[in-house]
Amino acid sequence: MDAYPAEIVTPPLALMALLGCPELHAQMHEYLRSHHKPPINSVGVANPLDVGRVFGERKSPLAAGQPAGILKADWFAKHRQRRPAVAVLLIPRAEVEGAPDAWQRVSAQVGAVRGATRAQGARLVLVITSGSSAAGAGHVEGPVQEERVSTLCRQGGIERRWVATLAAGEGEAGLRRVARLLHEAAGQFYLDDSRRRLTLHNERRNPPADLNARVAFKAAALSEFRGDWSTAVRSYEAAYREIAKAAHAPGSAGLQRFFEIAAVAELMHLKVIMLLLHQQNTARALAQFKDHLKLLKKKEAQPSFFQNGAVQAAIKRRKLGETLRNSPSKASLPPGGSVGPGAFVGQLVMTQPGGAGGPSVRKLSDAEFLAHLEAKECSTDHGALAVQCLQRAEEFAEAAREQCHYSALVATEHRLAGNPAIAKPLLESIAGVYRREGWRVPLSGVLQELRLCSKALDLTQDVVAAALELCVLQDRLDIGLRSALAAEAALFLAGAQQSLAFTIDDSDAHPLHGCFALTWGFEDAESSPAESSEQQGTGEPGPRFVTALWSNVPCSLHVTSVQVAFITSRGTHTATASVKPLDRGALQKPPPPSAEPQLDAWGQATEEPSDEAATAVTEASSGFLLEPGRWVVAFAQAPNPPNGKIGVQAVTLRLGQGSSSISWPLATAKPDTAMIGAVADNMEAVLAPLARLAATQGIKVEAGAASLELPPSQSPPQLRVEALGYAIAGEKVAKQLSAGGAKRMRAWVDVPVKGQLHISACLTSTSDEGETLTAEASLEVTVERPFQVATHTSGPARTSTLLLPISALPETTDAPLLADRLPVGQACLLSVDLTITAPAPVVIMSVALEPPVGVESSAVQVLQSLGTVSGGTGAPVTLSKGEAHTARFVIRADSACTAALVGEVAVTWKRPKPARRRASSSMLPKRSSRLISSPRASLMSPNALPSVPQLTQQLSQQQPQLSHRRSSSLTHTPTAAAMTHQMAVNQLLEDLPEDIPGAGMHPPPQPVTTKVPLPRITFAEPGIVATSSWPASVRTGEAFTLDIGIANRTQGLQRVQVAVGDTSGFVFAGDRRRMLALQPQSSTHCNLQVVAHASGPLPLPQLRLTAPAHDSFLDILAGHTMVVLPSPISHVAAA
Amino acid sequence: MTITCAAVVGRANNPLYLEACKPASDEEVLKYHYVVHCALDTVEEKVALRTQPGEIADSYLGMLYPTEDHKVYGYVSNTSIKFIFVVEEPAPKDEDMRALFKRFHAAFIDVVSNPFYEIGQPITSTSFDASVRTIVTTV
Repeated sequence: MDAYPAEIVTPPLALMALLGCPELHAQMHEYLRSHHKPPINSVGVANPLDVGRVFGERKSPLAAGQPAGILKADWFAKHRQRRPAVAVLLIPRAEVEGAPDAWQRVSAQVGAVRGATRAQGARLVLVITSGSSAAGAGHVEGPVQEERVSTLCRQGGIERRWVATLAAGEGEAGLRRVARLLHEAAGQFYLDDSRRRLTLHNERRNPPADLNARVAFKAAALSEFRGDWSTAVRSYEAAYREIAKAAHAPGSAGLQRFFEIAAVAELMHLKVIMLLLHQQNTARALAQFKDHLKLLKKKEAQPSFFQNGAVQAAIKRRKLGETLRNSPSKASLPPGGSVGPGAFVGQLVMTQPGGAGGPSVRKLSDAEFLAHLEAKECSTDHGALAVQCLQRAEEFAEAAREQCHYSALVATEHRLAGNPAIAKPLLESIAGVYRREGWRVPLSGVLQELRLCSKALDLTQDVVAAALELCVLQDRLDIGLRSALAAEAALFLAGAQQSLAFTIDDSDAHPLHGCFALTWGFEDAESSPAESSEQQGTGEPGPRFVTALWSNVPCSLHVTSVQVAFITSRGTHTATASVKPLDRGALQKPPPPSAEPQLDAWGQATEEPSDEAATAVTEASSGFLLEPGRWVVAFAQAPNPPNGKIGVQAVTLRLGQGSSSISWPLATAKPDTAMIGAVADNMEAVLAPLARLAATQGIKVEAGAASLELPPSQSPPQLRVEALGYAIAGEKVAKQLSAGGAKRMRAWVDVPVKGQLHISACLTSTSDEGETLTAEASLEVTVERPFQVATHTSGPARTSTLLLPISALPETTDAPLLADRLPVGQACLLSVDLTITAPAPVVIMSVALEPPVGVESSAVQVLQSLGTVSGGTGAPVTLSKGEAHTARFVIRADSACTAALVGEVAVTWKRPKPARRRASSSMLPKRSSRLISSPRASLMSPNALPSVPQLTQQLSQQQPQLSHRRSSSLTHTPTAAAMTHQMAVNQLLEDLPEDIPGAGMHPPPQPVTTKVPLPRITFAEPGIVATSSWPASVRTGEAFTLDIGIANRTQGLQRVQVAVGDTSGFVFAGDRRRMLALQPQSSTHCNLQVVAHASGPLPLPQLRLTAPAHDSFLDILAGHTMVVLPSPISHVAAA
Repeated sequence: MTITCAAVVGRANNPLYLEACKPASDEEVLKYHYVVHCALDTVEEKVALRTQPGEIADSYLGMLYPTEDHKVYGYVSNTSIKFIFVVEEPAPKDEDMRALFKRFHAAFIDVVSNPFYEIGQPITSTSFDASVRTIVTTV
């Protein structure tokens, strides 16, 4: 809108001519302009007799035919600034009512004004003023003489209502009244003028479209003057339609004609749009936009794209201007002539100096018009216009990416306009956006602009950076251009004129992230090559730092050296790395800088690198070529860190003459970052050798630094702890300590019953520099139980004892009723079952029953040891996990006793062979042990003594009667299980020979005796004793008597039921169930007549005695058999 | 309707595939990049507006914005993969565009089902390229 004149884009205001009384002009002008709504413009004429120069003469109507133009260029300005609608004649009251000469002067002024305004049809308003200095000294108050007023109206040809009075005492109220009258008069004038023009135009026959448009436009403008907006819109739209007709009419194909129509149409379109938008009629405004674009043959677009369309148009215009400026043949205007705007809108005229008649003005020919346009375009600053348009579009853009796009265009225009300093920061920010989102094609365009800007600003480093980044973008630029860019960058890097330094961090958005790739790590000391061992032998055991380099730049870069900056507690140390290619041919001889014989990268003369040379490691003193698509590995010897900790600060490539560098600050790398940069092409293929390298090098990166734990330079305290893979409860574990690789010691550690055995060792040493170093190593050993013990007791054969409860005996959970009682005075059997639970075989050497500890005379006697079942007496037997070993003992008690201690089962066992080594912990670099530079106390307390394992027994009843089974297991108590078995072994260390590697690691197995306390047994007199007797042998069919004797040894009556059960093989005669009543201290017999009908060893019939009052029973014949011989009768019969 | 450019943009707004569907100069290809990149603003805006709680979002986003010569249409998958067509006049029907985008999406699913394709990397599959060309030429 700024391109249009103010009279077009602002609403028109009525214009008044203030005549006479010049002292009132300023006051009235100020009020009409600032306080009245709507404002009214005014011009002042001091002498009313000069009014003729204001209104002028009316022009004659147009003749028939085509007018010279569509719309006068100054018509709007003329009516707003020079053609008043109302002539306001200010008459002092004193002159109206004064002397005759004054009255005659007033009459003359009214007549002159009337004559002047009659031609234009302007309205006349008379204002009789009073109270001012101009009114004269002799003015009088009260109404004006009406006769004089009537006379003035008659002379001016106006009605009485167009005469007003304005007294000085009225102030603003008087001015408001006059202003309203003037506004009404102006509205009348514009309305009458519009009607007059339309009437006149309607009288024309077949008026041309240009004239129709002109009349409609003027009618609209006059409506706008009087504030009739709806009529104004309708009239402007009608005018625009007429212009559209004129554009499509024959004869309008000329360039100047189209230029004029386009200019007028643009003006009318602007007025229509402004009024419609002011009325908030958006739909009609959009329709007008479409009509206008269609008229000018422009493509329709959404309003949201207007800014983009303006941007594209501005860029196209700028390009056209450049083309015109660079065109060798330019059209020229006639000499001496000047082209300027004509009298009509959109017309240009040529003004040439003429003769005596003055300069001649004529229309331009088409050639002259084109020449003028061309010259005008050439003189226009299109760059500034384009930048202005783009900046406006950028301001209107709401979305970030759209703004980014416009910013790129703005930056380009700035560069073309010669402002690279403004363009460069814009381009850098835009490049960051595209780089971050991976839009490489737009990025390449931005980088090209950035490179040109940097070049214009003579910023070599930025030029090289842009070139390097550009040359690795393969999406848009061909290989030729990329190679040229790379060569340019390489030339700058190789030159010694300027020092260029690039730093590539681990950010993906870094400009050179895609140009190079670097990975690094420390070499594992155990897998270090020969040269590393050699260096260790020379007393410099510092590790080697390994870094691999990759270049995506499509040209070879001459690298002078690879430098690695290490950082230790002493400071920074820089080492030059030796280089080696991962694939053959990656290293080639650098171009010789001089004619002198040069050594290649392998330290050889001018020969091509051989296969052997390609695998060798050499110093990079002479430099090498870093070629695209190849890995190059560089090794750097790290210094000895004083405290065993070292970090890598940076890796730096020295390029060319050594003044330029590319560095990677590793100290800021993220944890676990293995690579900085990206590798182009096939990642899998190129990373395969690097993965192998990383696997062997053991890359380790810590937050903020790449660090490695190293043994100190003086007396490195290496500490290794070794022990058996698992321990068996009760034995001692040999723990071997290896200090410094030479000193070996061993200590025996008691093993807890169950759980984890945590073994830790602490080695404290003092270096020559007086620094105390502490090394720690630890190991955990799992403790297993050797076996599980179960006991089984039984009474003597053929004597069954029904033990009844004795009230004198306490009932305990450990000795349930009838569970652990044996008869007094009888030899009983005690069986001990060992079930191996250790994961490895165990050799059982002996099992013995020992008397209880601390008891002088036990009530229980061990009569006989029946030896072992599986291995025989005294013979060691090797048992694996799950196998059982049984030992039996005959015991007897002569008197009744309660919970008598039987003794302990002493099992002597050992391991058959040493177990395999499970794990080791060493102080070799980065594997296990840590070096802590600060002195610290040992984690083991010297007061921590080995605890004695406490054993509990788990009892399980297998049979409720005389035969019952118990099991004991080696377990901790709940509190003991959670304890950590600790002991100080500082005083128990024993030295091992140094010349035998591994000596003492597997000492011969030592016998271990594990004692298991047996459960307590109660020996008591039986309440009811049953005896049974039967013949040793019978024949089939022969009857025999099964005698059952039952004795009641209690002091009360006992009822015993005798029940016969299964009698397989025998025929039984009599009642199967009998109830016997036994008097106190009495006995009775129960005879059963039985006949065997089968032969062979037959189990005796099932016979159960039950004491219902005590809920006890006894199968007295269970497990007994008798031999039944065949019948002789059958034998005779057979004979 | 003529589709002049087809593009697939990853969930990180990185271009996975962008191809001019008819012969184009380098400048035109660059212009397509700008158009598709600027369209991501509208995609994000429409995606943010459509995800109301409990609403089943429609993948088809409709016309994103017009340019001087083209109209840009968008489609977004559940995995935030954006599919964009740059279409010449006249404006197509939404149902037609929806069907085209579904075919485009299916072709993309085929290419990411390739075990050798690395998710998030530019698509260089010739079969995918052929599928896209088939889609845009059968309009």
